Amino acid sequence: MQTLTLKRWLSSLSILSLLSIIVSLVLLLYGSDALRPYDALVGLKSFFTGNIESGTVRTILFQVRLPRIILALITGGALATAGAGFQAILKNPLADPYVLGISSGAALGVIVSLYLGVFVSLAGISSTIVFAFTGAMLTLYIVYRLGTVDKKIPPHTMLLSGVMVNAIIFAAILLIVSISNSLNLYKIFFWLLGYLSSPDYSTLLVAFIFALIGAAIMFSQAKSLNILTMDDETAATLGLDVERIKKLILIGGALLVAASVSICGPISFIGIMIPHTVRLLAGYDYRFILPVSMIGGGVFLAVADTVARTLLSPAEIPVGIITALAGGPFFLYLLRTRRLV
Amino acid sequence: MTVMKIVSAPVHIRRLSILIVLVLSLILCSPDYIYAETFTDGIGRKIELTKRPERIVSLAPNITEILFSLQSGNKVVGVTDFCDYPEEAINKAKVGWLISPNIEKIISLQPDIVFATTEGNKPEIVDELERMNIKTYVLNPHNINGILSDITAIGAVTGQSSAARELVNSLTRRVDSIKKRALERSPKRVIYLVSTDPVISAGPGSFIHDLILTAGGVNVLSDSPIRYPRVDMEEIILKDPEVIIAPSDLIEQIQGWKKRWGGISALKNGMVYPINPDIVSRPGPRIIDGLELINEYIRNTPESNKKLNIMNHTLQ
Repeated sequence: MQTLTLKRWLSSLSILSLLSIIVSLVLLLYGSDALRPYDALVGLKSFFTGNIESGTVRTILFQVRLPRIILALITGGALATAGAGFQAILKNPLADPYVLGISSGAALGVIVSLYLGVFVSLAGISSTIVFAFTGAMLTLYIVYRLGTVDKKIPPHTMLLSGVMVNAIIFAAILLIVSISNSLNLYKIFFWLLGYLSSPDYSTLLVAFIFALIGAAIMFSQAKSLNILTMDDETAATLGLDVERIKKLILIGGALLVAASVSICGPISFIGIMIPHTVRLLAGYDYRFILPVSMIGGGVFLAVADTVARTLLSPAEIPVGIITALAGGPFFLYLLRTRRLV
Repeated sequence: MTVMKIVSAPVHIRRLSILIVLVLSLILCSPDYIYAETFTDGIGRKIELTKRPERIVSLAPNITEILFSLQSGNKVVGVTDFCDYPEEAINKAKVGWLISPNIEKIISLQPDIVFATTEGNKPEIVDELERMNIKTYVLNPHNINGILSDITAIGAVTGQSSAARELVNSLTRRVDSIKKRALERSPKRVIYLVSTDPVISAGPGSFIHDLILTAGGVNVLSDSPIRYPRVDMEEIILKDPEVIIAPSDLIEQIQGWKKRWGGISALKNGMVYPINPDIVSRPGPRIIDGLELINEYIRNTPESNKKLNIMNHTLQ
C-alpha cells in the first residue's frame, strides 16, 4: 500500500467530494412521478441561467429535494464517521454509533416531548429535536460515568454499560408505549425506524454546525487513533494520552450522532457498514478512514433515500430497508473477497 | 269456556287440539329450544349457533359501536381498551388491545359469541378462540357497503335483524343523498393526513379513500400502492390538493405549513378542515357522519369558507 502523502490525501479527498456533489445534483432530478427528471433538469437549468419560470418546480427543487439530500449527506456522514471512531476506541468491529445508548436517550427525549405535547419551535428548530438532542447527550454522559473505572475507559466496560443502558431505556420506552393509549405515541414507532424528511434550512444549519464541530474533534485525533488501534498500553508507552483521546472521540462522536439522530431517528446500518467498507477498500489509516467514511456515508444515505422515496412512489418505504438490502450484500462480497476487517 | 268445549269434544278433536297447543308452544318458545342457525362470516368461516347469543364480546371499537346502535349494548360483556364510544361502552369489562386481546379474559367472560375484525385483530386470535370452542364471527369490511353489510350481519347473529334493517336503510338513504349532492359539482382534489411528522396519508383500500370518493372528491393519493403511505412533501405540492382534511390536533401544524408551502391551493384558500379521526377510521355507523362532514367540506368554496372559519373562531 502506498504511503499517505499530503498530496495524495488532498487529491483523493477532493475527487471524492467532487463526485459526491455530482451525485447529489443527479439525485436532485429524481422524485415524484409528477415531476420527471427532464422537467427537473429544465427547471434547474433555468434557475442557473437566472430566468426562473415555475414557482412550483423551484419549491420542489430547493425546498423539498435539496434540504432532504443535504440532510442525508450530513446524517450519513455523521453516522459513518462516529461509527469509525467508536469502533477504534472500543476496539470492537461490531460497535455502531448507537451502541453507547445515544439512540435510546434521544428516543426517550422524543417520548418526553410527545408526552408534554409541546410543539414550540425555537428559531425554526422544533422542540422534538431539542429534546432528542438533550436526551442523547445526557444518556451518553451517564454511560460515560458508568463505563469509567479509575479515570480510565476500559473498552469492554464502556461497551457493556452502553449496551445495558440502551436495553434499559428501550425497555422503559416500550413499557410507556404499551401502557399508554395516547395516539400520539405511534410517532415513536416511525421515529424508531428512522426517516428523512425535508427540514427547513435553519434546522439544517444547526445540524451542520454540530456535525462540523464533532467531525473537527474526530479528525484532530485521527493520527492518534492509528496508534490506538494497537492495545492501550503500547499506545501509552508511545507517549499517547490514551484516555484524553478516547474522551475526545466520545465527545466528537456524541455531537455527530446526536445531531443526526435528533432529526432523523436512529437510521441503522450506515455507521457499521460504511467504515468497514472504507477500511476494506482504502486501508487502515484513520486520517483517511474518517473523511472518506464521512463522504461515503453521506452519499450512500442520499442515494438510498432517493431510492426509498421513488421506488414505490407516491408512497415511501423506510430508508433503513434500502441501506440494509443494498449495502449488506455489497459488504459481504467485500468481506469474502478481501477477507480482512 | 273453550277449554270446557275441548274437554267435552270427541277424542280425535281433543288429541288434535293438544297437538296444536304443543306445536304452538314449541314455536313460541323456539329461541330457547330449537334455535340452531349457521352463519357465514366475512372471511368465509361457518359459525353454528345453538342458542341466541346473550353474552357478546367485541374485539374492536367499530364492532362495539355497531352493537350499541343495534340496542344490543346490554348483551355486551367485554370490549377492548379502545372502545370509548358510546359512553356506556367504557364501563364494560376490558379484554385488552385489538392486536393482543387477553384470551384468558375473553374465556372468563363466557361469551356466546365473539365479534372480531380483520381490521386490527390478528388471525391467530381467531384460531386460538376456535380451539377454545368459543364461537367467533369475523368481520371483513373494505368500504362503506361492507360496513352496511356488517351491520346487517351483526343484527342477524344477535337477533336484532329488524333494528339492523332500519339502521341500514336510514344510513343508505343518507349515503344516497350524499351521492346525489356529490354529482352536482365537479370533484375536488382532496388529501387526508393521518400524521404530519412524518407525513402519512390514506390511499386506496382505506375507508377514508372510499369516503372521499363517495363525498364527491378525488383522493390525490389514489395511485398509492399502500393503504396508509408515508408521502414526500413534493408529492403534495405537485398534486396540489384543494381540500386538506386532518385530525383536529394536527390542524395548527398544517396551518403552519403556509410559511414554506404556501403555494398549495388548500392552504392558500384556507380549505384545511378538522375531523374526529375515530369517525372516519372506525368502520361503524358513525362513518356516515364522517361522510357527510367530508361532503360539506368539499362543497365549501373559499368564500363561504371564510365565514365558516370566523364561526369556528368564535366557537373556540
